[in-house]
Amino acid sequence: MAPRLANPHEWSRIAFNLSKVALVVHIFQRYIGGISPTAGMSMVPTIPVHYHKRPYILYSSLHRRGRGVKVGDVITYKSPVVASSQGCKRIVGMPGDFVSVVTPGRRDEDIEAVDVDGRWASLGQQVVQVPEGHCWVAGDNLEWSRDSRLFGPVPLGLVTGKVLAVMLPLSDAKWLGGELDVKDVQEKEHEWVIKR
Amino acid sequence: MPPKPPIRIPKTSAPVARTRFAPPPPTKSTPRTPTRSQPSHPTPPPPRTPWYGTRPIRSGLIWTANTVAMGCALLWVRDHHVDVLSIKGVSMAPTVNPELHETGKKDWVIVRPYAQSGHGRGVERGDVVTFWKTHKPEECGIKRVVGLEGDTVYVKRGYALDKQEGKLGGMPDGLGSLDPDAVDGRMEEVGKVVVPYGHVWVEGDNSRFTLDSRDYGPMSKGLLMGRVVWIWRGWGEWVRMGDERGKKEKARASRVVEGRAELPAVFLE
Repeated sequence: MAPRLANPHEWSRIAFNLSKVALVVHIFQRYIGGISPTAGMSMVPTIPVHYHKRPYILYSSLHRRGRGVKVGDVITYKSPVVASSQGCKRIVGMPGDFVSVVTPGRRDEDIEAVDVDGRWASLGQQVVQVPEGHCWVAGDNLEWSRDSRLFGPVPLGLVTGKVLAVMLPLSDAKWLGGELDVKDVQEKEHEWVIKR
Repeated sequence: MPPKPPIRIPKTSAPVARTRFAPPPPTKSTPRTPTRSQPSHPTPPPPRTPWYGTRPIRSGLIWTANTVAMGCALLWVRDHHVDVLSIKGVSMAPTVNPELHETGKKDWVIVRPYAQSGHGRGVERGDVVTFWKTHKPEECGIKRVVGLEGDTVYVKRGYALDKQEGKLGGMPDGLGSLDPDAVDGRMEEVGKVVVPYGHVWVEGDNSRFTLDSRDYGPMSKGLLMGRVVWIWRGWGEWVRMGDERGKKEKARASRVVEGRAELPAVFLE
């Protein structure tokens, strides 16, 4: 082995093959799917948060630009405000749906307090119809989540993929199946509540 | 000194001693056989390799892997280095597609994607950009960037001049908030838009036939694909991307006052 590696041509051949592998992996992740680590506690019951281990998710890039996503899917998207950062939230409304800007369970006066300390719902309206080509996203942990309540509807062109499963903290590994992990508790009032 | 006698070369070859085992000398009448000349050390001829090689599975896998890598390389070049698009609309009319409504001649554009494509870094005022449309996520648009984040845009038509509230459906509109101290509680100034952080304001050159930021508001930088550098109008007709608008067209565009924007405190880590 040693005399073979002493040859500089052999090194360049290995480097060329490694770059080919990296290229294929990059394109595969961008167009088909992959595994990536996540951080943050905005999706806490669904995607757990750990002190030292980052949870890993399996995502499908075939659903990029909102192809075939529906209400209840967990998506990854480029943040409309900071385009270099990615977010991972649950779709709450698709084009044409009416969504509540105000967090359920909060009082209506909060919408006044919002503009003062700039923490919640900077839209100034209580109910919004999601415009064409957009979706309304919200984290499962509504108390600790920067989502559409702050920056408005997300253009579907910013959606980079759909989360299929949580993989790595093996205790929390599960498939995310749209309707399976979101339960309609009250038939009439349609509140989306996370099942544990 | 007497001259030397000329050297005589015998014309007839020396007689070969014919033995019982020696081959007979070749005669002209007998055809030459291909096995006439025997090498000193006879080696078997190299085996003919079939078209699929000696190790067909291995070479087939290598061939497939190289083909896949070549396709990925093409996609990578398209995503990060150069892209070619055909333009169908007249929204950029004097600059791109100037004759579409008369002759139906379409232009092709050469797009240089921004570094770290999709993040919109390095975009400047006056760039002609291609982007994914906000209202149709699978379609590409081409417009001119008029205002960057923090700029104040005074529009001459569009949603900012309409009194109808909430027309954008909750999208960031850049309009000022309601002023409760004013006499009638209206916006601070009609027709004034401040482009929010992380967004750009795009407008078409042909302001009569264009659907742009004046209708759907500021556009997120994450939707930008790249900057148009060349226009291709057939062989030999390469045009560098510029501004072909006349004075009338420019007067119809929005007025921009440059400004700066900072990341809102809510989005800090």
